[in-house]
Amino acid sequence: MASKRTAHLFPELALKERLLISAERDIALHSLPGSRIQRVVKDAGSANISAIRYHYGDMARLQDAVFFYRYKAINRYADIISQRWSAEVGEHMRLQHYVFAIFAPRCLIIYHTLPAAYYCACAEQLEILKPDRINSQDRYPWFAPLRNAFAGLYSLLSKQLGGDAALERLQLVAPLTAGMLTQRERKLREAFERDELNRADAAAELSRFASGVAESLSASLLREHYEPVDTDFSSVFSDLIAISPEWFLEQT
Amino acid sequence: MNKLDSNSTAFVSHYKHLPISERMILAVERQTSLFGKDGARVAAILKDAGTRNGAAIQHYYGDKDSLIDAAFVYRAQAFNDWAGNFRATLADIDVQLNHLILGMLGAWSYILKQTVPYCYHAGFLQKLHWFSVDSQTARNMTGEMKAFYTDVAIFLKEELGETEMRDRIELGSLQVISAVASKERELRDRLSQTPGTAAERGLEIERYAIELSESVAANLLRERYRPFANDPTELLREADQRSGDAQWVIERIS
Repeated sequence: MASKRTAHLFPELALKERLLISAERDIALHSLPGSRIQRVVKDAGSANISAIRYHYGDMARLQDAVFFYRYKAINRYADIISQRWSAEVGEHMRLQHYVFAIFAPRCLIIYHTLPAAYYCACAEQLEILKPDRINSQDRYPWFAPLRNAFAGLYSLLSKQLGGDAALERLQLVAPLTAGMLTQRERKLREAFERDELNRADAAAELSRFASGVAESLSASLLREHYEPVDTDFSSVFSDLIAISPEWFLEQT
Repeated sequence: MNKLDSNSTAFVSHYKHLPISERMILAVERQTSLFGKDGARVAAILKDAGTRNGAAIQHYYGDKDSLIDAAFVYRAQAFNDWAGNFRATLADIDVQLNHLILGMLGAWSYILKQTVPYCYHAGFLQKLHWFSVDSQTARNMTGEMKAFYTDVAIFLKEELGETEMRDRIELGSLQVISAVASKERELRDRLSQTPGTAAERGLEIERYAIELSESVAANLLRERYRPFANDPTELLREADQRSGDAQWVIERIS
């Protein structure tokens, strides 16, 4: 689908930042080995591929910058959610709360990046949403708030099912979360581009998705031990959506 | 990206004994699965099909869209044959929601067993937003597969009511397609390095299909979920046996 170039969507941003958005989009649409410097630069509204060298050094450094650009905002959302849980839920944390703390930040990113919502697809290509990489000391580590949510989820699941069953069920559910987010992101983005969806609809849809996923993935993990919770996830989500994210741009 | 995904040499030579029209279907599956519908370039499809004839797609299928349709038709018969055979094994047992889901996932596991690790079908379906049951095209579920899907919907509607059924099916099918695509990818990663025996592979895939059926049933039913009353592995094997080797269908225009 032909969509507007990043340069037209974000004329107010500096080229340095537009390059990140363009790179994110190019990786999302064409995969990591398929992404092309020429296309990124053209989409960002420059005629000159040395713009990347000037601002970032090389393609690999640009990829790292793409990763950190949204990552701090995600962790900030995750942090706000876990603080809210410790205030409201305290000792009675359930699996749904942890799943929500992991999923909702990505859903908020989708909302705040529309119409250029490519974050989840890009992250899937860079394989940074994969929870099995949570402990590895590699290029794209999971940061504290998200990692704590995941660790909390795992320890609760082990307590309820025993370690082996917990690990087995987690392996069944965890790898598909990236795909679910990417599909939902693409669906919303394309509907938004076709003007079939406004921002309020997108917010409602994402809120429904985040709360639905919290329940349904918990049910998948717990199966016979599952019980619904009475936390109103959608009101938490609408509080969060009012908080604008701050994107991170390294100063040189 | 693993070696099998980043380099097409092994893929091309694995399928080189097949006719060109069939190789093109396998190639479009691979390219779409890796790069999406728009990212699947005609030149790359031709390369994966092991041909240099630039007019091959036009000659056999007309255009890329028709080639993609043909790729759906290619596997549909095998899916439905297996699902029909599986349905026959359900005649004498107490059918749970888990069995109906296994009707679809088992068909996928049957096809996977025959193609692994050169398997890109689930990724192909995922990239094309398969599982949207509303549209009426060649890309839809048909026959026995559709019957199982409808049964799942009816079952849920009786348990939960119409609105809740729709919401949960939407999330559930998102889970299914993401799960099978990511499992398929994992198998490509691992089995292209250490293939193991066909029996080991079969066992792993069967076990995964059963576990995933439980997981999806729990996702859909939540507090009403019940595990399989009896181990369904024998049912899967019986359906496999009745189906034998998969029959692929090539529907070309010339």
